[in-house]
Parts: sequence; structure tokens; C-alpha cells
Amino acid sequence: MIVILKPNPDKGQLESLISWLQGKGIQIHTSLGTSRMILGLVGDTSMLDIDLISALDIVDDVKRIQEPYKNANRKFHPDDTVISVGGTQIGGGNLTLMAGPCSVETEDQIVEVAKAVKESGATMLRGGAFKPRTSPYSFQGLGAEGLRLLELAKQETGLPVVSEIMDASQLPLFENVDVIQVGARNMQNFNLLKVLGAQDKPVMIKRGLASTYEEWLMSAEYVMASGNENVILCERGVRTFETYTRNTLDIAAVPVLRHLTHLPIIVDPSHATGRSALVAPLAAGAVAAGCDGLLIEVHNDPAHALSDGPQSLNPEAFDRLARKLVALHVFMRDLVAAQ
Amino acid sequence: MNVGIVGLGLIGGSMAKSIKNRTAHIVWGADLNAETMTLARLSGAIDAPLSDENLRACDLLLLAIRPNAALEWVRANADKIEARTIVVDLCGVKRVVCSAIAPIAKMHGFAYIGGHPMAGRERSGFVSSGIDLFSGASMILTPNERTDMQTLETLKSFFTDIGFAGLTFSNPDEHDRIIAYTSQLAHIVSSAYIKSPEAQLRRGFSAGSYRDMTRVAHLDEDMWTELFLDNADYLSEQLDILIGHLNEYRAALGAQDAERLRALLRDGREKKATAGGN
Repeated sequence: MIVILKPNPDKGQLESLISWLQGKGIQIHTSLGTSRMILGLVGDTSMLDIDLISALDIVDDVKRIQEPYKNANRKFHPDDTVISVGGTQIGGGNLTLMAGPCSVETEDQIVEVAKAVKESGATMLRGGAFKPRTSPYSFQGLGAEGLRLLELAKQETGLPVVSEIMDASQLPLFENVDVIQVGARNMQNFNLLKVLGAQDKPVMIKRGLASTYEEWLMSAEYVMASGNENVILCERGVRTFETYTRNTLDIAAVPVLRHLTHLPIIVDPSHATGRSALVAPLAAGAVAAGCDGLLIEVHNDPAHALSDGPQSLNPEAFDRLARKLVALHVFMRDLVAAQ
Repeated sequence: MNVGIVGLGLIGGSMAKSIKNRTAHIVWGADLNAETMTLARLSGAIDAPLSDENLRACDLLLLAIRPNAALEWVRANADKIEARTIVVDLCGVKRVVCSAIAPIAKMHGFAYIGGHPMAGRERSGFVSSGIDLFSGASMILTPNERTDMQTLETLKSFFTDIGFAGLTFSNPDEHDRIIAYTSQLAHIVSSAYIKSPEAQLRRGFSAGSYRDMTRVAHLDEDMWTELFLDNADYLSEQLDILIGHLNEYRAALGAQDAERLRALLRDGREKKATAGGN
């Protein structure tokens, strides 16, 4: 349920309403919109009398929220959530380019890629240390050592880093990681989501291979309900009947989520297609559709990458793409502003 | 809950009887008429007279007297009303009453909210009151900037417990504007309608339409004079609208214009269909 207040509500009456709601065991999430304040009510709101609340002088409107996700719902929070990470802003009309190798392999590799992608305009460095691979015989990532190398690259370039966590027990190792990524396969690992909700680093949740928008938003809700409102959503393609591409990028997710949620929406064209030749067109499509950023795999030697080489761009290709994407983002923003 | 009722006429008496009949609340009542007080005590509509002492123990105070009298009563007794008491006036006009009582309530710290039960009877006084006057009726409340959820919750359960179908929320201005039409104009029309000389010859010539049109002509002229004057602006607007429409019918008749007359009647039938109500 949301309670939309009139502009400049009387403080005494607002406090009285809040304490009355809290007395009923309702949790209140306050959102200060551009024009008016919205109280998002979470809990057993079925016993609340909408007519009585509407009768209060400070209340403009009261609505029940049908969707099971509340904190993630745009109705709770009409303005875009903007997440600040080490000087870069994610969401709210910014284009965040997260680039880097699928896996951190060596110090030289990660530092070289980090420098290159920064030069091209990337604002965050990605790099996997813990890798959820389909085969147990595949390279599993460098683990703690990978995170250490990632930190070296961060120190070298100043780029904030995003890396995937596979298990709640790894959390202490993520102290110097700026955004913690939850991979597609862990999207519904609710215990992990709760643990990440109880800490304060932003969490980027990749869409499960066969998850609906609602299931995905419910995963975000898990993190938010546990106290961490800094959640980023990442579309990375879903499983369909098509085998030519690794997954099918659901570009509709961008405008759909834009409508349903206030959280930033990132698109990963690398995992979505599994083919480096398709990264550029789909990245452009995602920017045109209005995403808040892209997660792109860049490797200094894709042919010899220990994981996902076929979908990685080399730094030169990323450079050409990044410049196009920034220009496209500006063009789209002006186009939307002109309408 | 301890409920004090000031005025035990049709509305106050019916409140007292409904409360005693349907709830376990204690009712203390006051009325200027000694006979009414005796009747109220004998019939069990009140537990005891409302006094300066038990006034301080009231959780809810209902003012079922005329607007001016209600203001006078609140002015005279405000310092005896505790901050935890909820005061609700039941007057038929709200702007005059609410704008005068609200500042007094704020100064003394008690909760005040305007009210108007949408029920009545053409006869007045305690003898006309009954336990079922409010059954299924709507209770209008006009919350203000000091009204809190606790007050609204208390009032909702109180009024539904004594038979009201539910609460209708409004503000004094909207209330007076709408009531000028739904209630006040109807009383004036009824009063004017009965003045035709033919009214005295109606026996054997009348049925439902005469009965419906004249029911509220049995009004209490003292009360309605005050209510009309307190809402003169909106009521005059409604009268002008009505007179304008009456003139349209008169003109169509004078011109023997069947088309115009039919159109006027059809328009009225369609408006009744969308407005609803019996």
C-alpha cells in the first residue's frame, strides 16, 4: 500500500500517522519524490482501512499495491534510484560502462585491461574471481587471489570494481569490491540475497536464465527487505529455443523494468549472445532502449582467455564501441528531452 | 466508552437510544427540557445527566443541538473538556460550526470533528427519536488538520456499532454546498408546495406524489430558519437554479410547445437515472 501525501504535510499529523501505522506492525518506507512525499507500507496492510487513512488532512491518495515486490516497485519510489560508487553514478540518466575480463587471470592482464577500458571511457572495472562454470573441469577462477589482483587494478586506475560472489561465506573477501554481483544462477539463492541485504555495498543482480521479471524483482526485494536499498538489475539474456546465440537478449526488459521499478538497469550483451560480433549491435540496442549502463567483457587476448573468450572484445574493439555508445546515449537523451 | 450527549431531541435522543440498545457504552445526557430529561432517564436512554463532573470523564461528546447553541455550549464548557475527549457536533451546517469550534478545540487541546448524520424524520423531539433512526444511514464527518488516525478509528467503530452503514468523509464547504441541495432545498420546496390553496382540498385527490412532496413540510421552523441562514449563499444558488428550471417548464406550457416540454421531462428522467436514489 502506498500513501501519497499532500505537499508540505503538517509534521505533527505525519508523525501521528507514522506512529499509528507502526503500532499496527507496518513498516514504512518514505520516498521524497520531486513534488510530494510517498509512504510505502510493507506488512499486513489488508487490515488497514483505506477510507480512514484517505480522510486525513495530509493525505492526498491511498492505493493498494498488487505487485508482491514493494521496495523495488516504482509506485513506492517514483524517482529513479541513483547509486554512487566511488565517484561514479549508476542510474538516473547516467550511462555506466562496466568493462573488463570475464575472469581475472594475471596481474598484467587485469591492470592492462583496466587501463585500456578506462582510457576508452569505462567508469567501472569488472572481473570475475569466483566463476560459476557449467563444467567442474573448467577454470574456476582465481578466488581470493583474483580479488587481490582486482584491487591492484583498482588502485592503479581508480576505477571502482564489480565482481561476482558465489557464496555468502566469501563475503569477507569482498571488502575492497565496490559492487557485489549476484550471478544468474544464484538469482534465487535467497540466503545469499539476505546476507547481501544485511551489508551496505551495492548489489547487482543478474537475471536468472529462465526467470520472469517478477521473480527477478522479488530477488531485488529480498536484498531491499533485508535493509540494503542499493540494488542494480542486470539483464544478461534468457534461455530460449534459439541455439545460435548463447542466450536471447531480452531488450524489452529495459523499458518494462523502467516502468515497474526505480532501480538502475544494466545490460550484459556479452553473456547474452556469447559472440563478440553481436556485442556492439546489442549494446547499441540496449542504450537506445534506455538502459542505465552496460556490462561488457574485454580481454587483452580473447583467443587465449581462460573463460568466455569468444564473447570478449579486445581493447581496440571496446574503444570503438564505447565511443559510439556514449555518443548514442547523448543522442537518445536529447531526443527524449526534445519530445 | 463514556459518551456525553448535549441535546436529547430527535438526533441526540436517537443517538442515546441507539448507544444503549446496541453497545455497552455509558451515556450521560443533557437537555434544557426537564420533561425530556425525565423521559430519557425513565426510558433508559441515558445512564445519568451530563454534569460538570462527568463531562471531564467523557471519551466522546456529541453535540446534538442547533449551530448557535452548539457554539455557545462549547464556549461555556471548553475548559471542562479533557484533551483526550473527542467532540463531534451533529449540526446540519458545517462551515459556521466547524470554523468556530475548531479554534476553541485547538486552544484547549481536545479533538474536534464536524459530523452530520444523514438521517432524520419530519417530527422532532425526544418522543420522535428511536433506536433505528441511523440504521443503514451514512455518517458524514469533516476531518481537519488536527484529526488523527486514532480518532478516526474510534469514530468509525462507534458509528458503525450504533447502526450506521459507514462514514462519508467531506469538508465543511463541500458538505454545505451539497446539503443545500439534497436537504435544505427539498425542505423549502416542500414548504412552498403545500401553500397552494388546492392543498386544503386534496383529500380524495392525492396519493404518493403528494405525500412525498409534502412530507418534510412538517418542519421545525426555528431550527430550519437558523440552518437556512447559516447556509444562505449555497441555498440561494440552489433556489436560483430551481427557479430557472421552473421557468423553463412554465414557458414551454405557455407556448403549448410539446417538443420542448417533452425534452425537459426526458432530461429530468435521465438525470434522475444517473443520480439514483429512491
